[in-house]
Amino acid sequence: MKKLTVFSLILIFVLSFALTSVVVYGAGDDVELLDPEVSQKPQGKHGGTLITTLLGDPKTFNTIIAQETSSTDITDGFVFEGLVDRHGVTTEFMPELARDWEISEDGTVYTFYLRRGVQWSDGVEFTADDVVFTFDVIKDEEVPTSTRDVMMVDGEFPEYRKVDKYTFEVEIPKPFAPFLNNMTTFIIPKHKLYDAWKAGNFNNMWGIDTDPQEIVGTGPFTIGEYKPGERVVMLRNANHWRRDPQGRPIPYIIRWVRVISESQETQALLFENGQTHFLGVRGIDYKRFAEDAEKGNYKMINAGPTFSTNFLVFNMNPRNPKLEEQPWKYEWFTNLHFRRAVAYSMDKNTMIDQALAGFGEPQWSPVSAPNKVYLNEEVKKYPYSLEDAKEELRQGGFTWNDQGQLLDKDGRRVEFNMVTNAGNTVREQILNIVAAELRELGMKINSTPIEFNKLVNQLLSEWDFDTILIGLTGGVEPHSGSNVWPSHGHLHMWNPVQEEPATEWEARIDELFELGATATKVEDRVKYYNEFQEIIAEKIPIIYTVTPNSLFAVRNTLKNVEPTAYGGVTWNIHELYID
Amino acid sequence: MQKLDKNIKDDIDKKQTVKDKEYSIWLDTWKRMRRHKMAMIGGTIVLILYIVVIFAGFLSPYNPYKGFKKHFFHPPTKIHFFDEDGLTWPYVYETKSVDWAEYEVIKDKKYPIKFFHRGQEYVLMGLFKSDLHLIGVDQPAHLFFMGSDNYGRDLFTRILYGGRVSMFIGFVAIFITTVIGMIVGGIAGYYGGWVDNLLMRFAEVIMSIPGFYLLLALAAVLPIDISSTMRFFLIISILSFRGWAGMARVIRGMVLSIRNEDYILAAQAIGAKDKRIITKHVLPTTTTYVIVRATVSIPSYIIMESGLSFLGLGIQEPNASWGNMLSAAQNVTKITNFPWLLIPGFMIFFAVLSYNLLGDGLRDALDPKATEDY
Repeated sequence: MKKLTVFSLILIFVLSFALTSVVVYGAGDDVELLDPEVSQKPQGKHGGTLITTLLGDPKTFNTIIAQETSSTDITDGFVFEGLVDRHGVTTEFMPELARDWEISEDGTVYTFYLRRGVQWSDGVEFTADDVVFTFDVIKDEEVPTSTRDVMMVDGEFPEYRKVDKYTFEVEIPKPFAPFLNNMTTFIIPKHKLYDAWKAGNFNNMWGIDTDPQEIVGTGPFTIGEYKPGERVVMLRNANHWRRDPQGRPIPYIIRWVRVISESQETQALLFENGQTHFLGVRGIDYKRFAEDAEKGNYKMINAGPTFSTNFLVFNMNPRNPKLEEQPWKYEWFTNLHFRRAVAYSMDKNTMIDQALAGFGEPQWSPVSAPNKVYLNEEVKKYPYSLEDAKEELRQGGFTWNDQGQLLDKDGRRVEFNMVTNAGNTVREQILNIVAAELRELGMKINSTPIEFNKLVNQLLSEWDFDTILIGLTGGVEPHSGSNVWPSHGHLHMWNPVQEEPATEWEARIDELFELGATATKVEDRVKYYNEFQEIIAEKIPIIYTVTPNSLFAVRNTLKNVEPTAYGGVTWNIHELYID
Repeated sequence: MQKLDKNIKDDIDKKQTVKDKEYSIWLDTWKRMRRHKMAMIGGTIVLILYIVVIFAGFLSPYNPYKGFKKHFFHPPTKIHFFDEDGLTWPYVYETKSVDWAEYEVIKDKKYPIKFFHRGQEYVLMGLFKSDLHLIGVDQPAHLFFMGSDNYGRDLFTRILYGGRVSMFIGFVAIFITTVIGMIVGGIAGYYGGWVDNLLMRFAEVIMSIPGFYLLLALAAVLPIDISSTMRFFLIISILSFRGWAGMARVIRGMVLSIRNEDYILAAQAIGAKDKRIITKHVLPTTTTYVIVRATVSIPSYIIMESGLSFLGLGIQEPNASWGNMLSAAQNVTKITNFPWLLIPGFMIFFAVLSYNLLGDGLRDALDPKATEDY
């Protein structure tokens, strides 16, 4: 009797196993990839482990709600992909999940022809339903995503529909030049997230404690393992839709270990010890790395000024919870003369010399230097001059007491906190240089580096900071700043998510962003974005400092690399291989 | 009756003091101490370090926050003692930046080193203002004895100022641990029984608080608008409120062993109050231990400060401490190209070593069993 029970239990176990495996196999194998993309680069070798470094822990794997690069660095472009993408070298649009697209004559209807037979990493087929679902989620007011702001055309979310299984259409109320850029938005799988979204639970999905198996994308990699503070291991997505010149699936690289080390110093040492394949080199290390390049079997690449920025932002948010105790800080920060004085005290040459070791450029405008089309070089500049700064302060109603301390019009000592993210030595040094200059002006500055995620919270949800030195990843398309510059933006850092623009110039920027987006001719757009840059430079809610150059050291064993300031080393991760 | 008692006791006390003058334990210790060469050297260095950091403003050529923008990572200024005519008054040359962190010496003009040079203003011992510096040189030449850091600040000046934190912070901690440790240990040991049990279990609870996590929590909780010296002071004080437990245990053990000695029983028999017995008869026997422990643990606070600054919990820029100066050198490029940035590390090394030698000597000198040596 006992034997029989055991036997039947085993039988049930085996049977159930067989059944489930049939189901799993059934899901994906009948999908045939009809529209692969074939790599134009030389044929590479399959296999190998790529080892790189990450500066911080992700806060979420949910790319839709992720707001910081430490999260999106993991997922975007590697796990999730958009319908279109920009080329890492030319920055032109290229097809990604859509094999082709059409824009109607009047510029309002965009039709995307999706690649047929693309599979999610779990084998389920990718279709227009997934794209529709992604748009549903972005449109949902309950989902805190900055993408929604970017998508808005004329204050309206575009209409979108599935035409057939492989065709997706978006209709916007009026011509909107940068709209194609929005289609780089990362597509998420409906079959994994639909139920959660319906249940109103989307914002809690795919947090960092999720089983990585659950996180399904179309990109070249999937998340294999995440150990907080240690590493993220990415595994090759065997179902990926790109092919090598011989017609075999790529990426070539099977395993991609991304070591989390919050210190850039450790990252540099890891590279020097031959443990990682490439490194973003800091200016200070450039000479030393260049000297050892041959011995270490790597090459040095100076890719010119980056899109990234370092700037100082003042809290001009009347909803700052700390204002109850210190209402005067709001008055200082909203005082234009005060901000101009700070702008005049930015010694950018010293910053480039001391923080960037000579490899950098001063920045004056919100459009990054390499963006030649839209950059307005004629904006108001604030060349370093403490005399001018003092003059501005005088005009702003500030005075000095006999100890040289700066007092506001009520005789209160000007004192505030200034923080930046710890671990980024360049920013820490810029912070110290800025603080030293402001102290020269008689202000009392409490400057300290704090942990990045804590800083992001202060900036985005708690709104209780005074001044933050932080950076944004810039972009080619000026409209990508529509979550930053228009007054309703989530990342409108000095006073986010306003219902009505607080000032006239903010209202004008809102307008200009609308105008710049709807104009179809590039010349017109340039005009609008020029005015926007002038306003920002005039009113300086954000005070720019210096932009580092993009410097790389890449191991010679890593092939097919083409590092750029825009795309870094990994923009063509699927084509990289290890020799 | 009571009054009579008291008189007798006072009499005894007086006799005791008379005897003390003939033979002082401190004189005895000092004599033994002087034979301990290494301890004397250590002690001298410690003493010099204290004098130097107290008079940092006067001894240093510059202000610790003054950055020479064009002279960052400047190597130590070469001081010339000889010119074409042989030995001369020491002088330096002006230097000019040619490339990134590379400097050229301009030999056009000699800048003699000046003693009692009028330079930037500083406050001496928190009392008087002065602009008189022991040593200095006229602009545009610079006098960087130990080179300059990445902001062009004089490293020598910052080492002197930074030493204040490093050298003094230990005292605060020692004071707190000692006071609490002696009181709790004394009471627990003297009374024994349930009092002892209660206090010692409490001490164990305190000891089991994990220090490192307490630090991380503190770093997150403490507001950033207090000065970093104040914050560091708070962190150290809170840590020493945790650190007294170890001290209390040892004191309690010592007290326990002498509680039944004849002189304590005698004091009790005369009718002395417990408080008096503990403070006058029991605790003084632990003095040796307390002094030695203090000298030995000050270096551990110096090291702790450098560790905390390294982690970003200690003194923050632009304030100087040996720890944060060392952590600013935490870059392989800097260590290989600008090795003078490591000098603060040597300062920590010297201070800690000297303190340990001094502590060692003191322990031997204060050891009552070592009398046969003498």
